[in-house]
Amino acid sequence: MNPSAFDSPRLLADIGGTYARFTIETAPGELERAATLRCADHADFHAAVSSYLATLPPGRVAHAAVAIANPVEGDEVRMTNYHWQFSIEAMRERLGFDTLVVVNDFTALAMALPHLASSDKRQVGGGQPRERSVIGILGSGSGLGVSGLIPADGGWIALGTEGGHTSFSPRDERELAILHHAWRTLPPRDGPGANKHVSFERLLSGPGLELIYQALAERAGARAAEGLSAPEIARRALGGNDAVCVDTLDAFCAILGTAAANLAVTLGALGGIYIGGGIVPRLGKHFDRSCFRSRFEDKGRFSAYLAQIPTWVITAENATFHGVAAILAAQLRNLSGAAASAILGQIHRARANLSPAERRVADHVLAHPRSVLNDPVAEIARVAQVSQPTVIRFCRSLGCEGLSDFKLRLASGLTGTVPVTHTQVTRDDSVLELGTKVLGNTASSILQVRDHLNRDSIDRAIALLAQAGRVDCFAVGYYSAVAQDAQYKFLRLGLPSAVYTDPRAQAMAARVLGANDIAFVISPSGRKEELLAVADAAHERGARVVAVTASQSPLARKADVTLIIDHAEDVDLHLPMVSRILHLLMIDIVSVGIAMQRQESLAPPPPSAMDELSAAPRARTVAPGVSAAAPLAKITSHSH
Amino acid sequence: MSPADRHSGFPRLLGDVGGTNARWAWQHAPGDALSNVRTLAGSDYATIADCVAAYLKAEGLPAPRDVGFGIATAVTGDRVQMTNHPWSFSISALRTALGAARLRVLNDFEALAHAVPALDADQLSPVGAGAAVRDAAVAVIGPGTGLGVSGLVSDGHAGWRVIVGEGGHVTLPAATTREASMLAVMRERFSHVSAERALSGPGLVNLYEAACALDGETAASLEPADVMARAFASGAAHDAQCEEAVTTFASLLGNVAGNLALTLGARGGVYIGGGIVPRLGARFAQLPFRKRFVDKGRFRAYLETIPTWVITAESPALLGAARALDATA
Repeated sequence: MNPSAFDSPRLLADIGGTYARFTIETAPGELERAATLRCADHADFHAAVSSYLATLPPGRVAHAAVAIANPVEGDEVRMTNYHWQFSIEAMRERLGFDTLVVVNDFTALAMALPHLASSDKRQVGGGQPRERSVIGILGSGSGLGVSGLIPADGGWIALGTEGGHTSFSPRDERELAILHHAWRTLPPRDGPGANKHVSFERLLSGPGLELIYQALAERAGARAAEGLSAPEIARRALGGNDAVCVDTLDAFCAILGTAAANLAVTLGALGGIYIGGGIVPRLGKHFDRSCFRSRFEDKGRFSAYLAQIPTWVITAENATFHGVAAILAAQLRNLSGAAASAILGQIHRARANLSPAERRVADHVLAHPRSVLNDPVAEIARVAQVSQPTVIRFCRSLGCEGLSDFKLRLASGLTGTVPVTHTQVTRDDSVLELGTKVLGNTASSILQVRDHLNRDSIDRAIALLAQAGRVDCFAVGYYSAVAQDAQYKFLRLGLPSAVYTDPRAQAMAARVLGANDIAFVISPSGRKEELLAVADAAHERGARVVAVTASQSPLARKADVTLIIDHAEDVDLHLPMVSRILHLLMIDIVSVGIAMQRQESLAPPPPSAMDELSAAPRARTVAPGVSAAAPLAKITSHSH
Repeated sequence: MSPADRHSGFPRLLGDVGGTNARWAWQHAPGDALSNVRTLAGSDYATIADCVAAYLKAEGLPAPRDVGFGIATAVTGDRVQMTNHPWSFSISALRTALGAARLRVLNDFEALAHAVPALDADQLSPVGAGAAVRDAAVAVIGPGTGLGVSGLVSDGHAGWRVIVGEGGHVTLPAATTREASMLAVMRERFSHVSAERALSGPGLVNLYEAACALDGETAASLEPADVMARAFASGAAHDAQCEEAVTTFASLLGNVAGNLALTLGARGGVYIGGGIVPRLGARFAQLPFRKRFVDKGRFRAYLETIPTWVITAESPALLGAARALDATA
């Protein structure tokens, strides 16, 4: 089994106007059981999803992400080209998912771009992508999708755009004729007097190909142009025998060149432009030979600017699935991300209403949020060049009691860390906001641990601990409380256990461990010298070392079994809370496992284990953290 | 970071270098208002370093610690060459010449975009309705000597990323047969009729000349300011083709701004800067800008929710240069 496999498969969907495609992701990038359903065969979205889920082997899908061919805004999804509509939150509940992310399909495709292999795309024309620069994407199919990717902090921001609906700009006589034809034949939408809006999508889509054909057939003097379908026009054009179809496809490629260049100059897309969608990838090499690229570069004085920008056709089949999977993974990872900006966002919004002096404090906080966390009021006042009471007034303007209350809210926003005291907030809305943030941060971290659980190491830890003569727990500092909890659990399970939190006592205790004993070492960094020394001493005594620590840490390398918790918290600022909860939960997982194993294997129980046996069912019931049916996270909408 | 470090970027010299004028300002310490604002004519100085030296001398200021300015040209590497202007310089060499610890040179619309989140209500004039969606993308457009375009995208952590390219060089769209005809006239002169060919000072003149050509009138040799003056004049000074040029200018600006809003998904609003529109004052609201901005078929409702503002602040690009320095401190 793939060690990075998800706990439960993730459902991915790509819903177009005609087809709904589904697949499951069993581990990062591992897609299985792809299926394509006709939308028309299903009454609604729920029916289509249910019908796909019914084909899967038994097992629960916890997280799902759906790419959909229309704008995603808020909770209500209404498909532009199809009659399905639903509330994301209601749908999540109906389908029994913990997480349901709905994104625009072009946003999803865009997110896949930075990860495309060279075999997944084909360059058309020259140019070199500039590293970490903006990327643009256009996809022509039943409509014209447009998006862009902006590099930010090692990741990417996908633009949620409606760029396909920009006004068509003709470049030559042929295109002016097409525009005039469109004005003549399209029905008025906004009543008499309003201009008819001819967007690029009107022309750069399947129906657009048909419209261009009509216009050019008329221009060529055909009496009544036969109504050819888009696939037929493309087929005849590629065959090369039908002059009007050849002309039509040529105009289509040229107009796509204009649209692509408009996008490139608007975004400054020096990272390149990608072409996806249902039409162009099917044109094959014909597209490479078309006037697309020459039109792309043909921007008068700015031709040199465009000539340096590469253009690619996306040839990968599953790009949208990979993109939507990346968005889902990022959402699960950063569930706290949205909450993080809450206080800074509040400062931004309040800024205009602050007094000029308070505004100086606001600007200082926004520019240097992390130094504000450490600075005393006098220093903040000095740097912002205001009086100390102004700093306090600023805090109160934001609904905080005072500076320390403000710092707590700022800290939890900046680090995703839960402050240890949060009782000073008095206004109800602040309490709610803070509570939501704290619980959201914690829940998302727990989910992350769940997604990365390594069953093999947990099994080995349970096997070792269950056979141990004694288990001594070692930790320092804030993690002493975690070690104490571990000791209680081991004692409850009938395992002799002590806890050592003083380095000298630790050194002594490690040196008296026996061959059948275990040093249970808890260290979030896995770099504390004294705890590394405990591991070495335990090994010298022939004892085994089980560590709860970060992956790739020195302690992880020394331990016989490592239970991995990777959670970075800024311990300089306040007590690491989420991290300790995660460590507690990991220990709970292991102790529940030991209890279950003993219940199965020990019959009849030795008298000394009586307590443990009666405790076992309770232990299971008090350890719902990793197997809870209750949803831990809900993401109802994601449009960027 | 020690308190001393935090002060290390000051005093600052801030600038807004346009095709004609260079505007400079001074900031003593973090959070200070800009002082010593002075505008110098670019043509009076052989190099930008000479221009800065003249400013510092005139204001009696020392060498700045940090320098940031927006400039009306593309900034893609160390070498900066102004379009239609003899000034050309290497950023690293200019930094040395100015004796500055740090020099940040930005495209002028990149600087303007940095300023937008800090603008107050009294520095903006709304055109039409709509309400900004918090943390949504923002678009900036401004006709002046050329057509500047930029955008802002939230990074999800209360910060912004500036998008800047050459958005003034999108192909000019046409929404009416008359506009299509004007476009056809302009295409006889320019190999590529970009939005900037109509939406700029010279663009106003191009539109006037196209209107004259279609009406069979002989075009007078006019400056952009003349076109505006005759469009709004009454009586004998009024000129029908000038009026059409200004009206068409507003219509096309609405169209192109609408395209920009759609392309960026700019539900955070569209901000109009540059040298032309803010000078039109209240008259701008009478022109068909907003009408054409929302006139995009079934995306009308989407665009109607997007607010459009004219930036009326005195020197927003100076503020933007300061904020760009803050952002990279």
